[in-house]
Amino acid sequence: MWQGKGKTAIAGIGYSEISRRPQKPLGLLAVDACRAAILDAALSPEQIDGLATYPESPFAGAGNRDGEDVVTVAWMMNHLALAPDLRWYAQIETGMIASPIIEAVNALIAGACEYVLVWRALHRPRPRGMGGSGSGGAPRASGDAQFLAPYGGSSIVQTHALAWQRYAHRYGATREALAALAINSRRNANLNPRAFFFKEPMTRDDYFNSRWIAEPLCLFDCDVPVDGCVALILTTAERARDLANPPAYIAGYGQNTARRRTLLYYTLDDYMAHGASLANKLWASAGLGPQEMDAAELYDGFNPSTLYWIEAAGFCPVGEGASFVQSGRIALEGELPVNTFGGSLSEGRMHGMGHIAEAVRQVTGRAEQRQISGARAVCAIDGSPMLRGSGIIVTRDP
Amino acid sequence: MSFVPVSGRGTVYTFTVMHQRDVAGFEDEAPFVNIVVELVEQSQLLMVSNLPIAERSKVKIGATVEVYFEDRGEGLVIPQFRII
Repeated sequence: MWQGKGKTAIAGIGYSEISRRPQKPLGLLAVDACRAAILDAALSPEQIDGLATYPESPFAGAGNRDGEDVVTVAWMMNHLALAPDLRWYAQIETGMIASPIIEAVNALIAGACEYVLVWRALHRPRPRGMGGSGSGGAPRASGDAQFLAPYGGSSIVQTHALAWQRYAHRYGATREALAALAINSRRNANLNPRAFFFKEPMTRDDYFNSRWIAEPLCLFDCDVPVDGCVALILTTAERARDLANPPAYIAGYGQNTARRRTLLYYTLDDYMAHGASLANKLWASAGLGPQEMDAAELYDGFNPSTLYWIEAAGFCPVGEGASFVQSGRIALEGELPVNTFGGSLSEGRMHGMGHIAEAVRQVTGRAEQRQISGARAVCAIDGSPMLRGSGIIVTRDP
Repeated sequence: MSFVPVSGRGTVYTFTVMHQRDVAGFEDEAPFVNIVVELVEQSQLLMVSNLPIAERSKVKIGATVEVYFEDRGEGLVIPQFRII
Protein backbone atom coordinates (compact mmCIF):
# COMPACT_ATOMS: atom_id res chain seq x y z
CA MET A 1 0.00 0.00 0.00
CA TRP A 2 1.10 3.54 -0.74
CA GLN A 3 2.72 5.31 2.20
CA GLY A 4 0.98 8.58 1.35
CA LYS A 5 -2.52 7.18 1.85
CA GLY A 6 -4.73 9.61 3.77
CA LYS A 7 -1.97 12.20 4.26
CA THR A 8 -3.46 14.80 1.91
CA ALA A 9 -6.96 15.95 1.12
CA ILE A 10 -9.07 18.00 -1.24
CA ALA A 11 -10.55 20.87 0.76
CA GLY A 12 -12.29 23.11 -1.75
CA ILE A 13 -14.12 23.01 -5.09
CA GLY A 14 -14.79 25.88 -7.47
CA TYR A 15 -16.68 26.04 -10.75
CA SER A 16 -16.90 28.80 -13.30
CA GLU A 17 -19.96 29.12 -15.47
CA ILE A 18 -19.98 26.24 -17.98
CA SER A 19 -21.43 27.27 -21.33
CA ARG A 20 -20.98 27.22 -25.07
CA ARG A 21 -21.19 30.98 -25.58
CA PRO A 22 -19.34 32.56 -22.65
CA GLN A 23 -19.37 36.34 -22.22
CA LYS A 24 -15.77 36.37 -21.01
CA PRO A 25 -12.48 34.85 -22.08
CA LEU A 26 -11.25 31.57 -20.68
CA GLY A 27 -8.69 33.22 -18.41
CA LEU A 28 -11.41 35.09 -16.53
CA LEU A 29 -13.51 31.94 -16.22
CA ALA A 30 -10.43 30.30 -14.70
CA VAL A 31 -10.06 33.12 -12.18
CA ASP A 32 -13.77 32.70 -11.30
CA ALA A 33 -13.31 28.98 -10.65
CA CYS A 34 -10.08 29.45 -8.68
CA ARG A 35 -11.54 32.20 -6.50
CA ALA A 36 -14.60 30.02 -5.86
CA ALA A 37 -12.42 27.07 -4.80
CA ILE A 38 -10.35 29.26 -2.46
CA LEU A 39 -13.54 30.72 -0.96
CA ASP A 40 -15.09 27.27 -0.63
CA ALA A 41 -12.12 26.16 1.50
CA ALA A 42 -12.40 29.40 3.54
CA LEU A 43 -8.87 30.40 2.53
CA SER A 44 -7.64 33.65 1.02
CA PRO A 45 -5.66 33.83 -2.24
CA GLU A 46 -2.48 34.92 -0.45
CA GLN A 47 -2.44 31.60 1.43
CA ILE A 48 -2.08 29.66 -1.85
CA ASP A 49 1.61 28.82 -2.22
CA GLY A 50 1.38 26.00 -4.78
CA LEU A 51 -0.08 25.82 -8.30
CA ALA A 52 -0.66 22.95 -10.70
CA THR A 53 -2.55 22.50 -13.95
CA TYR A 54 -2.84 20.46 -17.12
CA PRO A 55 -3.38 23.18 -19.70
CA GLU A 56 -3.60 21.29 -23.01
CA SER A 57 -6.09 22.22 -25.72
CA PRO A 58 -8.72 19.56 -26.42
CA PHE A 59 -7.09 18.72 -29.76
CA ALA A 60 -3.87 19.47 -31.58
CA GLY A 61 -3.94 22.69 -33.57
CA ALA A 62 -6.71 24.25 -31.48
CA GLY A 63 -4.62 27.26 -30.51
CA ASN A 64 -2.64 28.02 -27.39
CA ARG A 65 -3.02 31.73 -26.62
CA ASP A 66 -2.65 32.00 -22.87
CA GLY A 67 -5.80 33.26 -21.19
CA GLU A 68 -7.90 32.62 -24.31
CA ASP A 69 -7.31 29.06 -25.51
CA VAL A 70 -5.44 27.74 -22.45
CA VAL A 71 -4.71 28.94 -18.91
CA THR A 72 -1.18 28.19 -17.76
CA VAL A 73 0.55 28.45 -14.40
CA ALA A 74 2.19 31.69 -15.58
CA TRP A 75 -1.20 33.19 -16.41
CA MET A 76 -2.63 32.34 -13.00
CA MET A 77 0.43 33.79 -11.23
CA ASN A 78 -0.19 37.06 -13.03
CA HIS A 79 -3.94 37.26 -12.40
CA LEU A 80 -4.49 36.14 -8.81
CA ALA A 81 -2.93 37.78 -5.73
CA LEU A 82 -1.37 34.54 -4.51
CA ALA A 83 1.17 34.09 -1.73
CA PRO A 84 4.01 36.58 -2.28
CA ASP A 85 6.42 33.74 -1.57
CA LEU A 86 4.76 31.25 -3.92
CA ARG A 87 6.77 28.10 -3.33
CA TRP A 88 5.89 25.43 -5.86
CA TYR A 89 4.21 24.84 -9.22
CA ALA A 90 3.83 22.12 -11.84
CA GLN A 91 2.46 22.24 -15.36
CA ILE A 92 1.79 18.76 -16.68
CA GLU A 93 1.77 17.87 -20.38
CA THR A 94 0.49 14.33 -20.18
CA GLY A 95 -1.67 12.17 -17.93
CA MET A 96 -4.63 14.56 -17.85
CA ILE A 97 -5.91 16.35 -14.76
CA ALA A 98 -5.35 13.73 -12.07
CA SER A 99 -1.63 13.95 -12.88
CA PRO A 100 -1.20 17.53 -11.58
CA ILE A 101 -3.23 16.42 -8.56
CA ILE A 102 -0.77 13.56 -8.07
CA GLU A 103 2.10 16.06 -8.35
CA ALA A 104 0.40 18.33 -5.82
CA VAL A 105 -0.09 15.42 -3.40
CA ASN A 106 3.58 14.50 -3.68
CA ALA A 107 4.64 18.12 -3.19
CA LEU A 108 2.46 18.46 -0.08
CA ILE A 109 3.80 15.24 1.43
CA ALA A 110 7.33 16.43 0.68
CA GLY A 111 6.60 19.70 2.46
CA ALA A 112 7.22 21.78 -0.65
CA CYS A 113 4.12 23.93 -0.01
CA GLU A 114 1.00 24.14 2.15
CA TYR A 115 -2.02 24.91 -0.03
CA VAL A 116 -2.13 23.97 -3.72
CA LEU A 117 -4.59 25.36 -6.24
CA VAL A 118 -5.23 22.92 -9.11
CA TRP A 119 -7.37 23.94 -12.08
CA ARG A 120 -8.36 22.78 -15.52
CA ALA A 121 -9.64 25.39 -17.95
CA LEU A 122 -11.10 24.21 -21.23
CA HIS A 123 -11.98 26.18 -24.30
CA ARG A 124 -14.30 24.95 -27.03
CA PRO A 125 -12.25 25.75 -30.10
CA ARG A 126 -13.55 26.07 -33.61
CA PRO A 127 -11.64 24.13 -36.23
CA ARG A 128 -9.31 26.59 -37.93
CA GLY A 129 -8.16 26.73 -41.52
CA MET A 130 -7.19 23.31 -42.72
CA GLY A 131 -7.44 22.24 -39.10
CA GLY A 132 -10.33 19.94 -38.59
CA SER A 133 -10.43 18.00 -35.40
CA GLY A 134 -7.92 15.45 -36.51
CA SER A 135 -5.32 17.07 -38.70
CA GLY A 136 -3.51 19.23 -36.19
CA GLY A 137 -3.83 22.02 -38.73
CA ALA A 138 -0.83 20.86 -40.72
CA PRO A 139 -0.96 21.17 -44.50
CA ARG A 140 0.85 17.83 -44.87
CA ALA A 141 0.51 14.75 -42.70
CA SER A 142 3.71 13.48 -41.15
CA GLY A 143 4.67 11.06 -38.42
CA ASP A 144 1.91 8.68 -37.36
CA ALA A 145 -0.66 10.91 -39.08
CA GLN A 146 0.69 9.92 -42.52
CA PHE A 147 -0.96 6.54 -42.01
CA LEU A 148 -4.32 8.03 -41.00
CA ALA A 149 -4.84 11.48 -42.51
CA PRO A 150 -4.78 10.38 -46.21
CA TYR A 151 -7.79 8.15 -45.40
CA GLY A 152 -9.66 10.80 -43.43
CA GLY A 153 -9.10 8.67 -40.36
CA SER A 154 -7.42 11.04 -37.96
CA SER A 155 -10.32 12.24 -35.81
CA ILE A 156 -10.47 10.84 -32.28
CA VAL A 157 -14.15 9.98 -32.62
CA GLN A 158 -13.30 7.53 -35.42
CA THR A 159 -10.81 5.79 -33.12
CA HIS A 160 -13.57 5.28 -30.58
CA ALA A 161 -16.05 4.14 -33.21
CA LEU A 162 -13.59 1.55 -34.55
CA ALA A 163 -12.93 0.16 -31.08
CA TRP A 164 -16.63 0.08 -30.14
CA GLN A 165 -17.51 -1.72 -33.38
CA ARG A 166 -14.96 -4.35 -32.42
CA TYR A 167 -16.31 -4.57 -28.87
CA ALA A 168 -19.89 -5.00 -30.08
CA HIS A 169 -18.76 -7.73 -32.48
CA ARG A 170 -16.68 -9.57 -29.89
CA TYR A 171 -19.21 -9.55 -27.06
CA GLY A 172 -22.56 -9.15 -28.82
CA ALA A 173 -23.20 -5.70 -27.32
CA THR A 174 -25.68 -3.30 -28.93
CA ARG A 175 -26.34 0.43 -28.89
CA GLU A 176 -28.78 -0.22 -26.02
CA ALA A 177 -25.74 -0.32 -23.72
CA LEU A 178 -24.59 3.10 -24.92
CA ALA A 179 -28.14 4.44 -24.62
CA ALA A 180 -28.32 3.19 -21.02
CA LEU A 181 -25.07 5.00 -20.17
CA ALA A 182 -26.08 8.26 -21.86
CA ILE A 183 -29.52 8.29 -20.24
CA ASN A 184 -28.02 7.50 -16.82
CA SER A 185 -25.66 10.44 -17.15
CA ARG A 186 -28.41 12.79 -18.24
CA ARG A 187 -30.65 11.72 -15.38
CA ASN A 188 -27.86 12.56 -12.94
CA ALA A 189 -27.09 15.86 -14.71
CA ASN A 190 -30.74 16.83 -14.21
CA LEU A 191 -29.89 16.85 -10.47
CA ASN A 192 -26.70 18.90 -10.94
CA PRO A 193 -27.27 22.66 -11.24
CA ARG A 194 -23.79 23.20 -12.74
CA ALA A 195 -24.43 20.77 -15.61
CA PHE A 196 -24.80 22.06 -19.15
CA PHE A 197 -27.85 19.80 -19.57
CA PHE A 198 -29.29 20.47 -16.08
CA LYS A 199 -32.70 21.35 -17.45
CA GLU A 200 -32.88 18.97 -20.41
CA PRO A 201 -33.97 15.37 -19.86
CA MET A 202 -33.14 12.63 -22.38
CA THR A 203 -35.35 9.72 -23.39
CA ARG A 204 -34.38 6.54 -25.18
CA ASP A 205 -36.00 7.96 -28.32
CA ASP A 206 -33.94 11.15 -27.98
CA TYR A 207 -30.81 9.01 -27.95
CA PHE A 208 -31.74 6.84 -30.92
CA ASN A 209 -33.00 9.82 -32.95
CA SER A 210 -29.79 11.82 -32.56
CA ARG A 211 -27.58 12.21 -35.62
CA TRP A 212 -24.61 10.05 -36.47
CA ILE A 213 -21.14 11.34 -35.79
CA ALA A 214 -19.06 8.27 -36.64
CA GLU A 215 -21.24 5.18 -36.88
CA PRO A 216 -21.98 3.40 -34.62
CA LEU A 217 -21.48 6.47 -32.39
CA CYS A 218 -24.08 9.23 -32.40
CA LEU A 219 -24.16 12.79 -31.08
CA PHE A 220 -25.07 11.73 -27.54
CA ASP A 221 -22.09 9.37 -27.40
CA CYS A 222 -19.82 12.43 -27.45
CA ASP A 223 -19.14 14.79 -24.55
CA VAL A 224 -20.51 18.30 -24.81
CA PRO A 225 -17.74 20.78 -25.71
CA VAL A 226 -17.93 23.84 -23.49
CA ASP A 227 -15.92 26.73 -22.14
CA GLY A 228 -15.29 26.62 -18.43
CA CYS A 229 -12.97 25.86 -15.56
CA VAL A 230 -13.05 23.71 -12.43
CA ALA A 231 -10.59 24.28 -9.59
CA LEU A 232 -9.67 22.37 -6.43
CA ILE A 233 -7.74 23.17 -3.26
CA LEU A 234 -5.37 20.51 -1.92
CA THR A 235 -3.56 20.53 1.38
CA THR A 236 -2.23 18.17 4.02
CA ALA A 237 -4.73 16.14 6.01
CA GLU A 238 -3.85 18.05 9.20
CA ARG A 239 -4.42 21.45 7.65
CA ALA A 240 -7.57 20.27 5.89
CA ARG A 241 -9.19 19.37 9.21
CA ASP A 242 -9.01 23.05 10.23
CA LEU A 243 -10.76 24.33 7.09
CA ALA A 244 -14.41 24.90 6.25
CA ASN A 245 -15.36 21.59 4.64
CA PRO A 246 -14.97 17.96 5.67
CA PRO A 247 -11.75 16.78 3.96
CA ALA A 248 -11.88 14.34 1.06
CA TYR A 249 -8.78 12.28 1.83
CA ILE A 250 -6.66 11.07 -1.06
CA ALA A 251 -6.38 7.34 -0.49
CA GLY A 252 -4.58 6.35 -3.67
CA TYR A 253 -3.57 7.28 -7.17
CA GLY A 254 -2.50 5.68 -10.42
CA GLN A 255 -1.35 6.49 -13.94
CA ASN A 256 -1.52 4.55 -17.19
CA THR A 257 1.96 3.43 -18.18
CA ALA A 258 1.04 0.71 -20.69
CA ARG A 259 2.76 0.43 -24.07
CA ARG A 260 0.88 0.61 -27.34
CA ARG A 261 0.51 -2.41 -29.60
CA THR A 262 0.51 -0.35 -32.77
CA LEU A 263 1.39 3.26 -33.39
CA LEU A 264 -1.22 3.69 -36.11
CA TYR A 265 -4.49 3.30 -34.28
CA TYR A 266 -5.60 2.06 -30.88
CA THR A 267 -7.16 -1.40 -30.87
CA LEU A 268 -9.78 -2.46 -28.37
CA ASP A 269 -7.08 -4.58 -26.74
CA ASP A 270 -5.04 -1.37 -26.23
CA TYR A 271 -8.00 0.25 -24.50
CA MET A 272 -8.38 -2.63 -22.09
CA ALA A 273 -4.67 -3.10 -21.37
CA HIS A 274 -4.17 0.62 -20.75
CA GLY A 275 -7.25 0.82 -18.57
CA ALA A 276 -6.03 -2.07 -16.44
CA SER A 277 -2.58 -0.47 -16.18
CA LEU A 278 -4.12 2.55 -14.45
CA ALA A 279 -6.75 0.75 -12.41
CA ASN A 280 -4.37 -1.87 -11.01
CA LYS A 281 -2.09 0.84 -9.63
CA LEU A 282 -5.06 2.73 -8.24
CA TRP A 283 -6.34 -0.27 -6.25
CA ALA A 284 -2.88 -1.30 -5.10
CA SER A 285 -1.97 2.17 -3.84
CA ALA A 286 -5.14 2.56 -1.77
CA GLY A 287 -5.35 -1.03 -0.60
CA LEU A 288 -8.97 -0.91 -1.76
CA GLY A 289 -10.76 -2.76 -4.53
CA PRO A 290 -13.71 -2.09 -6.84
CA GLN A 291 -16.08 -3.77 -4.38
CA GLU A 292 -15.29 -1.05 -1.84
CA MET A 293 -16.28 1.86 -4.08
CA ASP A 294 -19.58 3.54 -3.24
CA ALA A 295 -19.61 5.20 -6.67
CA ALA A 296 -17.37 5.45 -9.72
CA GLU A 297 -16.73 8.65 -11.66
CA LEU A 298 -15.38 7.30 -14.95
CA TYR A 299 -14.11 9.37 -17.85
CA ASP A 300 -16.58 9.60 -20.69
CA GLY A 301 -15.17 11.86 -23.38
CA PHE A 302 -16.78 9.28 -25.63
CA ASN A 303 -19.49 7.08 -24.20
CA PRO A 304 -17.95 3.61 -24.75
CA SER A 305 -15.01 4.59 -22.52
CA THR A 306 -17.23 4.40 -19.44
CA LEU A 307 -18.08 0.80 -20.25
CA TYR A 308 -14.42 -0.08 -20.85
CA TRP A 309 -13.49 1.50 -17.51
CA ILE A 310 -16.17 -0.51 -15.72
CA GLU A 311 -14.54 -3.66 -17.06
CA ALA A 312 -10.88 -2.62 -16.88
CA ALA A 313 -11.25 -1.50 -13.26
CA GLY A 314 -12.87 -4.80 -12.34
CA PHE A 315 -16.39 -3.62 -11.54
CA CYS A 316 -17.61 -6.49 -13.72
CA PRO A 317 -15.93 -9.24 -15.76
CA VAL A 318 -14.53 -8.27 -19.18
CA GLY A 319 -17.21 -8.70 -21.82
CA GLU A 320 -20.10 -8.26 -19.39
CA GLY A 321 -20.14 -4.47 -19.29
CA ALA A 322 -23.13 -4.11 -21.60
CA SER A 323 -25.46 -6.21 -19.46
CA PHE A 324 -24.02 -4.53 -16.34
CA VAL A 325 -24.92 -1.01 -17.51
CA GLN A 326 -28.32 -2.10 -18.83
CA SER A 327 -29.28 -3.71 -15.52
CA GLY A 328 -29.87 -0.50 -13.55
CA ARG A 329 -26.84 -1.14 -11.34
CA ILE A 330 -25.17 2.13 -12.44
CA ALA A 331 -28.10 4.34 -11.39
CA LEU A 332 -27.84 6.62 -8.35
CA GLU A 333 -29.87 4.10 -6.35
CA GLY A 334 -28.02 1.11 -7.83
CA GLU A 335 -25.15 -0.94 -6.41
CA LEU A 336 -22.48 1.03 -8.32
CA PRO A 337 -23.65 4.55 -9.18
CA VAL A 338 -21.62 5.78 -12.18
CA ASN A 339 -20.99 9.38 -13.20
CA THR A 340 -23.37 10.63 -10.55
CA PHE A 341 -22.97 14.27 -11.68
CA GLY A 342 -23.78 13.67 -15.34
CA GLY A 343 -20.30 12.96 -16.68
CA SER A 344 -18.68 14.89 -19.47
CA LEU A 345 -21.57 13.74 -21.66
CA SER A 346 -24.08 15.87 -19.76
CA GLU A 347 -22.23 18.17 -17.36
CA GLY A 348 -19.72 19.29 -19.99
CA ARG A 349 -16.23 18.52 -21.19
CA MET A 350 -14.06 19.40 -18.21
CA HIS A 351 -11.59 16.60 -19.01
CA GLY A 352 -12.03 14.72 -15.75
CA MET A 353 -12.27 17.64 -13.31
CA GLY A 354 -16.01 17.23 -12.97
CA HIS A 355 -15.41 13.58 -12.12
CA ILE A 356 -12.94 14.46 -9.36
CA ALA A 357 -15.07 17.29 -7.97
CA GLU A 358 -18.05 14.95 -7.76
CA ALA A 359 -16.04 12.22 -6.02
CA VAL A 360 -15.08 14.86 -3.43
CA ARG A 361 -18.68 15.98 -3.04
CA GLN A 362 -19.91 12.41 -2.54
CA VAL A 363 -17.45 11.42 0.21
CA THR A 364 -17.90 14.73 2.05
CA GLY A 365 -21.71 14.67 2.00
CA ARG A 366 -21.91 17.68 -0.30
CA ALA A 367 -23.54 16.06 -3.34
CA GLU A 368 -26.89 17.83 -3.06
CA GLN A 369 -29.79 15.81 -4.47
CA ARG A 370 -27.33 13.28 -5.87
CA GLN A 371 -25.90 12.30 -2.50
CA ILE A 372 -25.28 8.58 -2.04
CA SER A 373 -26.10 7.81 1.56
CA GLY A 374 -23.00 7.00 3.60
CA ALA A 375 -20.53 7.22 0.70
CA ARG A 376 -17.07 6.47 2.08
CA ALA A 377 -14.88 5.80 -0.98
CA VAL A 378 -15.22 6.95 -4.59
CA CYS A 379 -12.80 6.64 -7.50
CA ALA A 380 -12.38 9.29 -10.19
CA ILE A 381 -10.59 8.24 -13.35
CA ASP A 382 -9.43 10.54 -16.16
CA GLY A 383 -8.88 9.90 -19.78
CA SER A 384 -10.19 7.46 -22.34
CA PRO A 385 -8.58 4.18 -21.35
CA MET A 386 -6.05 4.14 -24.19
CA LEU A 387 -4.83 7.68 -23.49
CA ARG A 388 -2.36 8.75 -20.81
CA GLY A 389 -4.96 8.91 -18.10
CA SER A 390 -4.64 9.03 -14.35
CA GLY A 391 -6.95 8.57 -11.42
CA ILE A 392 -7.43 9.02 -7.69
CA ILE A 393 -9.50 7.49 -4.92
CA VAL A 394 -10.97 9.82 -2.31
CA THR A 395 -12.31 8.68 1.05
CA ARG A 396 -14.38 10.09 3.87
CA ASP A 397 -11.93 8.80 6.49
CA PRO A 398 -8.12 9.06 6.31
CA MET B 1 13.84 -4.67 -39.99
CA SER B 2 13.02 -4.24 -43.65
CA PHE B 3 10.11 -3.68 -46.04
CA VAL B 4 8.36 -6.87 -47.23
CA PRO B 5 5.87 -6.96 -50.14
CA VAL B 6 2.32 -8.00 -49.24
CA SER B 7 -0.51 -9.33 -51.40
CA GLY B 8 -2.99 -6.52 -50.77
CA ARG B 9 -5.60 -8.97 -49.51
CA GLY B 10 -7.10 -9.03 -46.05
CA THR B 11 -10.24 -8.91 -43.95
CA VAL B 12 -12.14 -6.08 -42.31
CA TYR B 13 -10.97 -5.97 -38.68
CA THR B 14 -13.29 -3.09 -37.82
CA PHE B 15 -14.95 -0.12 -39.55
CA THR B 16 -16.84 3.14 -39.07
CA VAL B 17 -18.90 5.43 -41.28
CA MET B 18 -17.77 9.00 -40.64
CA HIS B 19 -20.46 11.69 -40.88
CA GLN B 20 -18.67 14.72 -39.43
CA ARG B 21 -17.44 17.23 -41.99
CA ASP B 22 -14.45 18.40 -39.99
CA VAL B 23 -11.71 16.07 -41.21
CA ALA B 24 -9.15 17.97 -43.29
CA GLY B 25 -9.43 17.14 -46.99
CA PHE B 26 -12.62 15.15 -46.44
CA GLU B 27 -15.06 18.01 -45.79
CA ASP B 28 -17.02 17.21 -48.96
CA GLU B 29 -16.73 13.42 -48.75
CA ALA B 30 -18.85 12.66 -45.66
CA PRO B 31 -20.27 10.19 -45.14
CA PHE B 32 -17.28 8.00 -45.93
CA VAL B 33 -16.17 4.57 -44.76
CA ASN B 34 -13.02 3.96 -42.75
CA ILE B 35 -11.85 0.41 -42.32
CA VAL B 36 -9.05 -1.26 -40.44
CA VAL B 37 -7.76 -4.11 -42.59
CA GLU B 38 -6.02 -7.15 -41.14
CA LEU B 39 -3.70 -8.29 -43.91
CA VAL B 40 -3.63 -12.00 -44.76
CA GLU B 41 0.13 -12.20 -44.27
CA GLN B 42 0.05 -11.95 -40.49
CA SER B 43 -2.38 -11.88 -37.58
CA GLN B 44 -2.77 -8.35 -36.12
CA LEU B 45 -0.98 -6.76 -39.11
CA LEU B 46 -3.37 -3.84 -39.33
CA MET B 47 -3.71 -0.78 -41.56
CA VAL B 48 -6.27 1.99 -41.84
CA SER B 49 -7.88 2.69 -45.22
CA ASN B 50 -11.25 3.23 -46.91
CA LEU B 51 -14.01 1.36 -48.68
CA PRO B 52 -16.12 3.05 -51.37
CA ILE B 53 -19.27 4.51 -49.80
CA ALA B 54 -21.29 2.36 -52.24
CA GLU B 55 -20.13 -0.69 -50.26
CA ARG B 56 -21.40 0.77 -47.00
CA SER B 57 -24.29 -1.69 -46.66
CA LYS B 58 -22.08 -4.72 -47.35
CA VAL B 59 -19.30 -3.99 -44.90
CA LYS B 60 -19.00 -6.15 -41.81
CA ILE B 61 -16.22 -7.41 -39.59
CA GLY B 62 -14.54 -10.34 -41.30
CA ALA B 63 -15.47 -9.33 -44.87
CA THR B 64 -12.73 -10.19 -47.40
CA VAL B 65 -11.19 -7.16 -49.12
CA GLU B 66 -8.47 -6.44 -51.67
CA VAL B 67 -6.46 -3.36 -52.44
CA TYR B 68 -6.66 -1.00 -55.41
CA PHE B 69 -4.69 2.17 -55.87
CA GLU B 70 -6.34 5.52 -56.34
CA ASP B 71 -4.56 8.45 -57.95
CA ARG B 72 -5.55 11.59 -56.07
CA GLY B 73 -3.39 13.88 -58.21
CA GLU B 74 -0.30 15.89 -57.37
CA GLY B 75 1.69 12.68 -57.07
CA LEU B 76 -0.50 11.25 -54.33
CA VAL B 77 -1.48 7.61 -54.86
CA ILE B 78 -3.18 5.88 -51.94
CA PRO B 79 -4.19 2.28 -51.29
CA GLN B 80 -7.96 1.80 -51.09
CA PHE B 81 -9.93 -1.43 -50.60
CA ARG B 82 -13.03 -3.06 -52.04
CA ILE B 83 -15.02 -6.05 -50.84
CA ILE B 84 -14.46 -9.24 -52.88
